[in-house]
Amino acid sequence: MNPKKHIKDALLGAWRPALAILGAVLVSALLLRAFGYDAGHSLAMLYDASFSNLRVFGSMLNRACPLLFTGIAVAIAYRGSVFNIGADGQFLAGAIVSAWIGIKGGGLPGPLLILLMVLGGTLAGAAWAFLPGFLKARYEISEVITTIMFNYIAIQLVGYLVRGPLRDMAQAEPQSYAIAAQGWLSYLIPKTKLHPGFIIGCIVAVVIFILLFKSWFGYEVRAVGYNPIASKYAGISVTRTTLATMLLSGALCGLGGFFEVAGASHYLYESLSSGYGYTAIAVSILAGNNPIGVIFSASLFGFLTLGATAMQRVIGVSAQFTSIVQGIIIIFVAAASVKGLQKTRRKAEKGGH
Amino acid sequence: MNVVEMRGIYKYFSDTCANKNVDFSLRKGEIHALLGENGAGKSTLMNILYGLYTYDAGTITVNGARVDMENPATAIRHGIGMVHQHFMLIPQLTVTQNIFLCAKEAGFVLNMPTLEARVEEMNRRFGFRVDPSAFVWQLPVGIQQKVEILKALARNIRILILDEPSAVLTPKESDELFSTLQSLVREGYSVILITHKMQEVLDFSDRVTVMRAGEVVDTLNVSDTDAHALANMMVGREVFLQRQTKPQPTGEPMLEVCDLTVKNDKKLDWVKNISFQVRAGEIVGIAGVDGNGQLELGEAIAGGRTLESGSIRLCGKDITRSSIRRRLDMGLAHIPDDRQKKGLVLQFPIKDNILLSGQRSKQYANGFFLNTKKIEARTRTLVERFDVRPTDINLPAGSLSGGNQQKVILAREVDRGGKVLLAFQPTRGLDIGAIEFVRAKLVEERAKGAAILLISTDLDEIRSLSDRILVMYEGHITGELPYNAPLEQIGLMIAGHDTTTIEKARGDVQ
Ligand SMILES: Nc1ncnc2c1ncn2[C@@H]1O[C@H](COP(=O)(O)OP(=O)(O)O)[C@@H](O)[C@H]1O
Ligand SMILES: [Mg+2]
Repeated sequence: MNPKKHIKDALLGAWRPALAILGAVLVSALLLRAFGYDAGHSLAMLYDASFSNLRVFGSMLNRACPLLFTGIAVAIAYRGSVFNIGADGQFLAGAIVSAWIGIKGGGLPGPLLILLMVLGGTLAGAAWAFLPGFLKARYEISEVITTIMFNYIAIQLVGYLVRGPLRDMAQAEPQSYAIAAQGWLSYLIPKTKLHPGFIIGCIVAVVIFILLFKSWFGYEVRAVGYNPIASKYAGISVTRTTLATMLLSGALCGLGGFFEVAGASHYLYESLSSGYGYTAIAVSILAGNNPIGVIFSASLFGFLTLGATAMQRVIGVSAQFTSIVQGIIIIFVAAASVKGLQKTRRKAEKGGH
Repeated sequence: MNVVEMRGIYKYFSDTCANKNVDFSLRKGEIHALLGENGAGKSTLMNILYGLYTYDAGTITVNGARVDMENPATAIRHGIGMVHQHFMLIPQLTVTQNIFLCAKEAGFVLNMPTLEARVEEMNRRFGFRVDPSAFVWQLPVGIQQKVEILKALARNIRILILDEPSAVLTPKESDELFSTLQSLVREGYSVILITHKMQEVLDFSDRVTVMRAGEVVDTLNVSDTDAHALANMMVGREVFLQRQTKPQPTGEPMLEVCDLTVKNDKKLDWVKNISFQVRAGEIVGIAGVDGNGQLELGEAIAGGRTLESGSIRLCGKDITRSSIRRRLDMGLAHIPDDRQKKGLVLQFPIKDNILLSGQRSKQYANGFFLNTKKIEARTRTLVERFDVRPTDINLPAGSLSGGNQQKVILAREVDRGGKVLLAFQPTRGLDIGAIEFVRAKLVEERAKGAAILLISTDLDEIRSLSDRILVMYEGHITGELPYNAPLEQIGLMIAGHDTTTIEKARGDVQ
């Protein structure tokens, strides 16, 4: 399939999720009504939370940003048939190193500091993916297990840092010192807190898309992902390709971690990632593991989390119930994308002889 | 008496007509071959009879009564069972569990000892030796197929349909299968045998129905016809499978294998001190029964398996420790034994399979980026030249028939301009038209001066292509024969009788 067609598919595919969301909204409204909530008001709130003004819209994109990076990371790994469940840990590793550089590098000029944070965060993410990637590539040890273990390590490491060496005692809750002010990313639009992460994430999505579908490297990643034995006989080093895929995936997560720290929170705290790396799996699958599609699915998840909080805060719809509404929307969208898959498969079968 | 009558069957898949006005009948107690190339509509017709597919027009009569074949349950109730091309067994379950899966009489709570005893009883009755408590995944395909047959027999069927049963079997396993089928028909079972192998028709069948492009060409008594006539009916034109190569002078040795020892997956020496050469412009055939080290030899030459000892030279240079990449760059072309596993990325479109191994080459890439235009243009040329059908280069390779998949591999490997071609079972499982095409291409490459190593278990193939024949037995090359050596001599040698004993036996007879 050629790249233009891919983009077209991704865009054409958008009406399907749109229809799915509509269906999901209707079902959710019925449910809300059945449980005695004001359905109209609740759903309006869901919508308002992201779209009522520029400020909340910015927050929505900020919410989507970590999912965008981790989502692309999971998508590219998946193409190479590496099931990267470690996006969370790699994201945190990126955040830790970015924050550490940001805190310790107070004496550096802003651009240099930011550059170091970017590099540090990206490399940290890649480093966090290295061992699982190496064990998978070299010894065929399941990355599902190793990456999860590395998630635990990263989470505990954050806990240790914000309670120990990096703890800002002036704060009641355990959190790290803030990074030096010149390391804060500037907001793109006045009166919003929209940092450049989402926009850059979109660019990254396009770059990764081109890498995957237009370069020999991406070709090798996909070939190995589909059929490592045939790839081997075609002279592709399966070990090297698998490892490179994993490193790239980890680097993207680390970059996401950098943006979260330098753009949004400005310090490290224990629940910096509310399981972004896990949600990223759903984000990627929803997008058909297409990096450009991830832009939309990550935004959808950003929208849902923000809306859920608002419904809960303003109307008092219980947190569980907002999760139900979220779940309904996701199931609808997922069902729609599976339908799409079946259609392509049938097309393929029809061509056969 | 006809146990099955199908009349005027039509079946459309959207706009493809897979079966067109098909008449088919099966007599009690016969083995009836359904012969045709891939895509002729054989599986479709039998899936209709087995109730898996609906049909658009026509009637089915079983034992004289009209039957609406709604689903396989209906078919089974009417005594029709089917063993599919791809087995439908659950590998994690045991033989007995598979056989009685869903069988009503087994009851809700399974009494394994009783059921296993019943499997044993069937074993005795049909002359099988299948361990009832073995897990299916542990069994070789030949035995798995017997489990499939037992599964059908356990449902008290009288009519057995087998879809290309020998495609996955070794010659020995096939022989066993066919003697089983013959004993079944002696017991009054009727068998429909879907195949595209001529020999199975001639050796084991009573009647044959030839299909081509969805239609029945004719139904004949096997005794009234011959291989040549059947092949022509199948393909619709004259076919040439006879030897087409003319003697030609050979050049430098291009592939030199010296004292090669290779282990198999179980870490046993499986190729033992083998030495031979293949020169430019000749085809050297390695004949042997499957499992005598050919796989390990082929993989060692291709670079997918490490050597224990010995050396390999390609175009005069040592490649003993070279990577696969390096071997390809130095001029090795490789048609692997398992095209779907080793030769293609089935999910990729045809053009990306043509690209496979050339993705970094100047021909297809500008530095880091692939040149889609060039890839597509080249693929179109190759698809035309190698007669790949359908010609849509964006179709996934997995949707092609075996023959066309093989043509894609052949096109890619030949196009890379290799000087040494390793052809491993290049026509296994292909239909006659494709076999003819692949063989003609090999001969063409030979004429152009390629050194070709042909590894095949098909003696006809070895004899019709090779300039010299090496016999491989238990990991050794046990002899070299000229291409026109008598078939029986090769046959004895691949079975492990060395030539001297044969000579001696001859002497004794005289
Ligand atoms: N499930 C299907 N969907 C669409 N087309 C099919 C399907 N099964 C078979 N066909 C088409 O019907 C024709 C006959 O196929 P088949 O019966 O499998 O041939 P054979 O078994 O003789 O090789 C082919 O052109 C094939 O592409
Ligand atoms: Mg078939």
